[in-house]
Amino acid sequence: MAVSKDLVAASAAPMVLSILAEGDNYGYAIIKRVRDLSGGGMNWTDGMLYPVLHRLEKQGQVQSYMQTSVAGRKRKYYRLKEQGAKALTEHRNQWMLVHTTLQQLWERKPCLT
Amino acid sequence: MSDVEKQIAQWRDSLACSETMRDSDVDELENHLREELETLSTSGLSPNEAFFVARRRLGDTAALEAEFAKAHPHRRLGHHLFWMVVGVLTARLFGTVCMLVSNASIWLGYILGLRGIWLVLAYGVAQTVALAILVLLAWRYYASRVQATTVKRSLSISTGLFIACALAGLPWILRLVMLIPDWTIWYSAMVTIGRARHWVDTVWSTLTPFLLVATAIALSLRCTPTARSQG
Repeated sequence: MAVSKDLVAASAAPMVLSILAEGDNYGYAIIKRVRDLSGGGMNWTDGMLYPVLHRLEKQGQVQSYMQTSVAGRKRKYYRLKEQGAKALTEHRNQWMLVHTTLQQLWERKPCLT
Repeated sequence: MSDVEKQIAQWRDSLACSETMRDSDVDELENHLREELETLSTSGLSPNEAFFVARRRLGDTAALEAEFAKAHPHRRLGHHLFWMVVGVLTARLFGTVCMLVSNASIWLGYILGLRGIWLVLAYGVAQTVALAILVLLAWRYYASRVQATTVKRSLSISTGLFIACALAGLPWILRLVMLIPDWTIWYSAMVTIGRARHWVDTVWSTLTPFLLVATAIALSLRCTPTARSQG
């Protein structure tokens, strides 16, 4: 099952912030993590992640720095900032509210009497 | 250079002339592409197949450009302004060189015994030839360094050149009027025209930066990312 484009776009920022909350990471690894966790269902166009990261950086939620990997590849890593952690809490509250609301609606048994 | 390296270089070129992506952004995307290529190669795909899949996963160039434009909305305006200023400065430089060449031609013509209308003719011919040579050299230099896909950059440069020429045009029309041979009859008119030219020059050079900014904004609002071939 593939998730719709609108939902992918809406969940991009909380998804990225949540992954960065686990530790500093770079673009390719973030995409890979999303792909693995969703079993391929979150069908991101890889290149679209970077404008999201840049927007979060401009908003002061993440910070980037360059680091060279063991294989000698220069990678741009992103780190979650305090403002990003606050934004993540806000995202989390909103998504949990949506989630519990939908869950209650979908779990309600039809009344036959 | 292997086939895949050539394809990567071509793909990079198609992104490098974008108005909204900087070199560091293209570097980041290229890194991503190379990591994906490595992963796909281990799954048994040929290098060419791996490149095809990795590029598709990364996304269409025009769509990427549009997304980067949303993240960095001021870059497009800055890009247009920069290249228009390049256009105006080029026009200024060409004008100065042409003036020096034509002034030199007058001195040379005078030494060689030319007088009256022949001197004016020598001035005009020297200026035209100098301008033609400069435009040809500049075009060859530009064409050898940028891709044919850099249409929008050329558009900004030519808009800058056009503005500079248009601004320079009116005073030049007045200058041409001043070249009427029977100058003794027109002497008083020449003085008035000379003063008018001075004022027109002043007003135009004051307006130039505002016109440049207005045109750059208009271009930025009008231009949308173009779909380019994916090499």
